[in-house]
Amino acid sequence: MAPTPSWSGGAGKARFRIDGLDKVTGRKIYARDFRPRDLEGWPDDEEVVLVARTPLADRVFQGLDLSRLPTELTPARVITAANLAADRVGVAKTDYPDGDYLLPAGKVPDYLGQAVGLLYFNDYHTMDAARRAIRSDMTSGLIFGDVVPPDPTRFYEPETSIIHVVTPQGKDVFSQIGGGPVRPQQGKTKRNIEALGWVDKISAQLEDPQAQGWTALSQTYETQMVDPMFMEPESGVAWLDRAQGTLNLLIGTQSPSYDATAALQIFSGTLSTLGIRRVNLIAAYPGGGFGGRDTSILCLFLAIAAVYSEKPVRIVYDRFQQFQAGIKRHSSRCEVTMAVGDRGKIQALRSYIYLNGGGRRNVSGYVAQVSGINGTGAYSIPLVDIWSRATKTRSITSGSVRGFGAVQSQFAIETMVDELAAETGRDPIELRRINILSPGEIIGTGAPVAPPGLDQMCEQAAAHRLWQDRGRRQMEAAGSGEAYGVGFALAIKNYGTGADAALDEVAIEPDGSITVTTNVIDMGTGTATTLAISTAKHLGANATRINTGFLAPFEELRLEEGFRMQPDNPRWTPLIFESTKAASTSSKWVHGVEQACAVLLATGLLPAARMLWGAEGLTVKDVRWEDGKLASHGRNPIPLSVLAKAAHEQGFVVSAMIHAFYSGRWVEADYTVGSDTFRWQIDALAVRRGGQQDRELIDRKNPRLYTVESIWEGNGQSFGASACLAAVRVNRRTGEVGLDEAVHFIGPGTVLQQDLLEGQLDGSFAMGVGQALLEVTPADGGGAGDGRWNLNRYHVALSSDVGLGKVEKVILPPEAPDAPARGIAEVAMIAIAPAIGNAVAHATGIRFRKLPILPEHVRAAWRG
Amino acid sequence: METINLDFALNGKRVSREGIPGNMMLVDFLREELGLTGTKFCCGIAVCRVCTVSVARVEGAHEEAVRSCTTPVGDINGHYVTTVEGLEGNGVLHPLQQAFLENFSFQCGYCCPGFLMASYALLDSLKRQPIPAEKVDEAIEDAVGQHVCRCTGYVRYHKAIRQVIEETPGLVT
Repeated sequence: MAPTPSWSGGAGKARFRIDGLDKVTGRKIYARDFRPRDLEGWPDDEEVVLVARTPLADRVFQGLDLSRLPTELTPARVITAANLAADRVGVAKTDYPDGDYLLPAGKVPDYLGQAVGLLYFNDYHTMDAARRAIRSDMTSGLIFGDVVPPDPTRFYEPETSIIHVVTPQGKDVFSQIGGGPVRPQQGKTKRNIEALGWVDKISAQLEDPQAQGWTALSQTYETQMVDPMFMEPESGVAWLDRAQGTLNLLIGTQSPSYDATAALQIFSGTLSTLGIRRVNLIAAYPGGGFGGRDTSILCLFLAIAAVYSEKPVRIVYDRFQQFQAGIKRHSSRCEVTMAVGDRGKIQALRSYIYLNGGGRRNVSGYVAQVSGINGTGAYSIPLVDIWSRATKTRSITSGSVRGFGAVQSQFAIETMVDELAAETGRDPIELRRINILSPGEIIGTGAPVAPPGLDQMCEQAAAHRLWQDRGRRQMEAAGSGEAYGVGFALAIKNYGTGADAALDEVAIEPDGSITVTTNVIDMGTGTATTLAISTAKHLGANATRINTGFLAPFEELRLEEGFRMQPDNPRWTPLIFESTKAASTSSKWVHGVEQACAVLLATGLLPAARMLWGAEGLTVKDVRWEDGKLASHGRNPIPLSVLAKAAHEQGFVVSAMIHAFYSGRWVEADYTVGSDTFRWQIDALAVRRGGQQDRELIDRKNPRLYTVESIWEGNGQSFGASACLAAVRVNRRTGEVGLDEAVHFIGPGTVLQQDLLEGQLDGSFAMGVGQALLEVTPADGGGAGDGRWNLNRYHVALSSDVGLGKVEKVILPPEAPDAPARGIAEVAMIAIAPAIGNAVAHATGIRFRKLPILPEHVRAAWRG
Repeated sequence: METINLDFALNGKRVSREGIPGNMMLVDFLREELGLTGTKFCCGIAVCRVCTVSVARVEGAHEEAVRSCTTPVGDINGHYVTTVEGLEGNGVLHPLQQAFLENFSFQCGYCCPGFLMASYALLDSLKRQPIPAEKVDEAIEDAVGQHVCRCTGYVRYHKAIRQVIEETPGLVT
């Protein structure tokens, strides 16, 4: 990425995005923009590859027959499953394989849109014309046999059980954190038997609520399959450089590290014959992501396509293909029973969550897990039995889309709470406040990680004119053509995954310019900008350059990955890298950059300052940055560029490469650089000194590691909170629901860059409106998997849908001076849809338990 | 396949090509034949308007926002086309570009060229026929209300466009 000299708004702030100038002038930055001739060292000529897919998944596939294509559109070459089998092209362990990259003849497709062949063309235009011709007849070129019914019992491991029991005296007697995860369906261990005992007791009480003095409701809630609908259809170029044994890939991905690893793995069985020694992945700026580019299969098709060509290859999806092949948000069904006592305290929750995981395992099991972990929503509930499962179906692949399971489970909870409020005659916000989680209170997993801000959001919403006037305005609308209603919803969501890794290098040049290199990418959320301003805390200036999506340089850390603890191995870490996801920028990757900068300050710039000042004993506590100069009491401040030049000349540290790992806290250790020992919150370090080319690997000592059992089970996660107060108007004739006004609450903690935060709020609000009112494609037949879906049928929110200028943002101030900078890009979306649903219920008197709420649903409900 | 000889102005420079299929879409011609990839492709069916360019029938005529994904190159023969690559002049950003930057209007940025070019055509229209201040929001909605952006919720795009209209003399009565 070219530096944009004027983006910086002073130390720690941005005047505009670091990637802004490239984007606003239309420079080549997206994968779709690149041709082989644009890439240094690549041959100019190319083949363009069409991935042919099946629009049906209910019958046996018998093969390809492209004889009906006009002669001029006939592909130069076709690669099928038979080729892959003959060449022993394998599957990538990292890719969670349980199927075929290309569907073999004689098999029923695993999922709608499964690829059946790679069609090679000499140019883009011919490929595009062939693509249109094939699409014009949905099954053109495909031969099918008998229909085979699906197996409804299949699902993906792991299933998740969140069982939590707190006695009336407040004693926590059973929780995931209290004794580890339980999987009651998987055998009669002592733990599972105990868990099942609690499940039975909770169930017995919920089945006879009157005996407990409770009011209980049971309802089923459903959410739809949603396309992330990032604007740039997936594309990429690849070239197998046979002379060097390098497979070169350029794609727009959220997971460059996974993709490069997986691309190498699929040829592991044929490495010797193909001569592939390494994968070089160039991560372009993705034109949107939202999770949909996290371990997308496109990269692997590119890799396979490249090895069957002597030239570079290009794959360029159009929107129809993107709808057919792209990762989706799981559709869901949540069966919820919830009971409240006579004082409004929620006593028990049973929630069975089914997510449609499609036919190719992606991260569905983890989405189900997060759905369960977030399944109690913003409430303190003494008896909890949540079971979540990702079912294996023949639907399109679903995966890591914004909200990651919490969108689904909290739509159910927030709707149910409103229903219980109506059932028990309480104000919905009042009922919420009775049960609200206090900051640091235990959530459903038993972990004391409840976020701050929930009660303030309720308090402010309850006092807001929208809520205060809701009854009056509803009455006023009674005689009009539009019904009026106001709804409220809360949300919590983890940011970070519970096992988070940061890989960063910060280097300073002799002129004082700073470069940050990281393995994560910026899908539009502002990661690049945020990391670039994060150098200011310890180095007094923003970075001038950021390299995103790099993995290879970090091989110098020689990390060894594994979840089994190796306390004596200084190279061991539980997780080397992660995808760009889970709203992790502000909380996790900023930490990595800041730690690398702390190393640079302590071992590079400060020694230079000591030398220039002649002050031997000076420590980092004795210095501060003032206007780009390092200052210390009684001494002349020294500009960063002077310090950097001296550090280079004296052989002090000028580059720090770190790995950091988080699971509830950061791993920390001692590092000896030169003769000084420091303690940093990182688990691996390599430094480069001025005048040197090679990095020096510094072994950690006295590490404070963590218990492996915590990972993925919720106590390593951090949580944020949001809420939405929404007012809607429902057209009594057409059933159309329109957003009238809204208030969007967020508790971000410390704000790193206000503009980026507000942009995430605006965007997540619009996506929430789409989830509530607009977006749907059937998960099975007739949906996007048939290859004939586009934006004429799939409605993403436009400016007229999102209440432009009528959505008030309430950003709670940091709860403490040292409040963390929370990741909010996911949690900000979650409360929108249930708030709108609750508003529609208020307006119409009818409860809609299935999203989206379309006009025809409203009309049908009104007709009775 | 019927071919044509193409001759039009692109970002102030003449472009002539012989033997181009007349039904080739403008977005494909720009991206595939000229390597001008600033104009983006998204839906390909004229819904999302990511691919918007500005077209004047003759030099100095009204600028019109045109969806290049469904405009055959034959239809722009002899016309004056402006794309995002043509907005910057002598290294100076167009006021719209500057405002989009400073308002953090875009995120992934993929829809940005479409918003820019539709707004560019809007400014041209307002130069010719200024509107009352109270009609500005409506005019912006007319110009970019059908443009799809998945990241931003549109708030900062509209704010930036309004800012440029208000700060450019002669656009508002």
